[in-house]
Amino acid sequence: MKIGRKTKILLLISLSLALMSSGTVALAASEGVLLTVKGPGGTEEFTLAEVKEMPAAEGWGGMKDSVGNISGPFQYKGVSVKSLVEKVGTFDENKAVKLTAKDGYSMTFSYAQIMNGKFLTYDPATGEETDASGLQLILAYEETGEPLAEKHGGPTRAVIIDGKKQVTDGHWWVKWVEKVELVQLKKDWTLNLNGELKVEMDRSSFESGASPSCHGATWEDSEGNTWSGVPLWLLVGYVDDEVKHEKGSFNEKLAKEGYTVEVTATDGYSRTFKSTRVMKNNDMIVANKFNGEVLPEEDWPLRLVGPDLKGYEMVSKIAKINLIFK
Amino acid sequence: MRNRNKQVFRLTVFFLATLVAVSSLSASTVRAETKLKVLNAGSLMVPFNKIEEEFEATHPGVDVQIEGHGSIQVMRHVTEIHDKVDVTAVADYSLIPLLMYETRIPGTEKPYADWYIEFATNNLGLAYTESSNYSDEITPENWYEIILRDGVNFGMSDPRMDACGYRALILTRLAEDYYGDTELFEKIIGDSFKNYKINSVDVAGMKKILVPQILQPNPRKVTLRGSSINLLAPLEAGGVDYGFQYESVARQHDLKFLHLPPEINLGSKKFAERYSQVEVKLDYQRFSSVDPVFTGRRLTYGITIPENAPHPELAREFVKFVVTEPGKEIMESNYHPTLDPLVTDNPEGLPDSLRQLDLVRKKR
Repeated sequence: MKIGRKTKILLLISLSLALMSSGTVALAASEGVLLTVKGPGGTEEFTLAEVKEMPAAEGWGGMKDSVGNISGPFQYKGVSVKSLVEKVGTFDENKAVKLTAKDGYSMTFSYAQIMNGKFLTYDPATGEETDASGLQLILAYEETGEPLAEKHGGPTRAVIIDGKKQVTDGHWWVKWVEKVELVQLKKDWTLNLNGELKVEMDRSSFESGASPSCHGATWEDSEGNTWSGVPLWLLVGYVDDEVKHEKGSFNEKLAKEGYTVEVTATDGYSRTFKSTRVMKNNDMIVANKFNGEVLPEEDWPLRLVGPDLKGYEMVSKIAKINLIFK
Repeated sequence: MRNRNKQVFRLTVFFLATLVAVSSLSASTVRAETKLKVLNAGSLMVPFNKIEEEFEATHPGVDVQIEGHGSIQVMRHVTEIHDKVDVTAVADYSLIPLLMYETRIPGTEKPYADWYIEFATNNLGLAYTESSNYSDEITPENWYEIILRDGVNFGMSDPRMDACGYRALILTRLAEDYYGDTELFEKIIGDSFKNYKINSVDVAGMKKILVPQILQPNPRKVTLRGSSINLLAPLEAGGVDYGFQYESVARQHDLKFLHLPPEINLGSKKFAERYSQVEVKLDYQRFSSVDPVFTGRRLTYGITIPENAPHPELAREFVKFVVTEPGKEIMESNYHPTLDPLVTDNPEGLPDSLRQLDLVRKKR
């Protein structure tokens, strides 16, 4: 049968309209990178097709929102977050998994949640708390046998599943996940500052002081890495006399008269610096962050860095700063 | 062959005509019932459900769709997810300028909003039941001793997810000064979590609270829930003795409520300056557009209409309904205190119908 050109065009238009009106026009799955998985062992990128080739996890899950409304449970299929992070490092209790959505929203999951499936669960019928365990966090790409729609958080959404029917808190169900990171959790530490005053500075206090709006300073090394923290002279000024934090806390007169600043690591390694070299020197920084993250294990928690220092002067794992007066 | 071709042509035209007719029919059905989308703080759910009923009763053909979330999530739906919303009402008015004024509607130079109205307030205290341990002993003077007793479990919403949670931290830090116990925050909050602690430090006159990425509550001491509303069930069931809660929410759910002194309950205008000396910082970036620092301030609710609201005229009517007598009466009868007079930061920016209201200008 030969069909005229006008008829062909009309057929094509009607077919398109029919598809659109029934909402079945599926957007072609992008062949680009869908998911970035990052950890101490490196970074891996996956397309949706590659994610679907991984061993699939299937089960039931539903959620309870912040005002108590329940949706689901529905049947989901996806890839377990545990198996993804194992590709980029070893997961232990000092680490966590951070999922980030395309709009920048992020949620962090603990070791117990990822490895042991410890989530608060509710009965889908009554909303009452139940005592389920062994749940699994997955990145779902299918809901009730269909590709997960964009409006439901697709192409990949964090979903908590189990063999049984239960619901979990909605805030864990991050939509549009595009990044999975194995992150080091911040452990607490103290820095002993010993001068005229003796102060045990904890992580929170140091971090508050190191914020850009307070005394934060940064240095970019020759490899383009950014180190940020607090200039050494400000920490010295905190304990060099009775004035801890106000304007003029660093006693210049005292520094000009001369004393020694000793920076010591947890393993006992130490370097000394003349007070005149330290005085108002923003190129000697006690860094607590490396490229915006907690310092790597070999330097944690603090490292002395800066353009005014030689390699051997850059003390890692700092535990103590002593002011030695003559 | 020609006839066959004609037949296919006729069939196609018929199909197209039917499709257009069906589309028009469904469009007219939609027009018959206008859906007004309202996103509001979870703590406004009870009065807003009632407001929805009353507004619909006086506005035939309008379906008000109330959706409750944490206040930050309300903002996120508008400015980051780009949902088309008619009205937003949040438990912290300052989120409106922080997020809606600062974010442009995609493809335009317009911000999502340039005005808000402060219309309601609240205060934070302890919700409990008659069967809570030591409920016959607890007073505003001894509550912190009671919740520290062995066998007493207290609840709070998760400060990483919910404004009521970080406000409970601010209240506890203020209590340290008010009751003259410098270790109160550490005893109530610090000791209730394992491994990664919530710390409080004093820096340059500010009391700063740092919330870590992961919270591991000691279940024998504290119960953590994702929102203040989800804390109600364990309170009612007896798993939690005392929960940090908004007064309106506690009373709406027939719970007992312990009023705490205005110096710490975040509900007093007189002590707003004192509240502002405490801030809570999340130890990680949770939203791309929100700096995760929350400063103590008087609990004040704000309402606005997004610049891209699908039904702006109806939205204006709804806002007027909420902030004037019909809405105020509903709020008050549901234990939710309202503000009188109303406050706005930009009277000139208000739509005409709202500019006529009795409003006090506040400095931006």
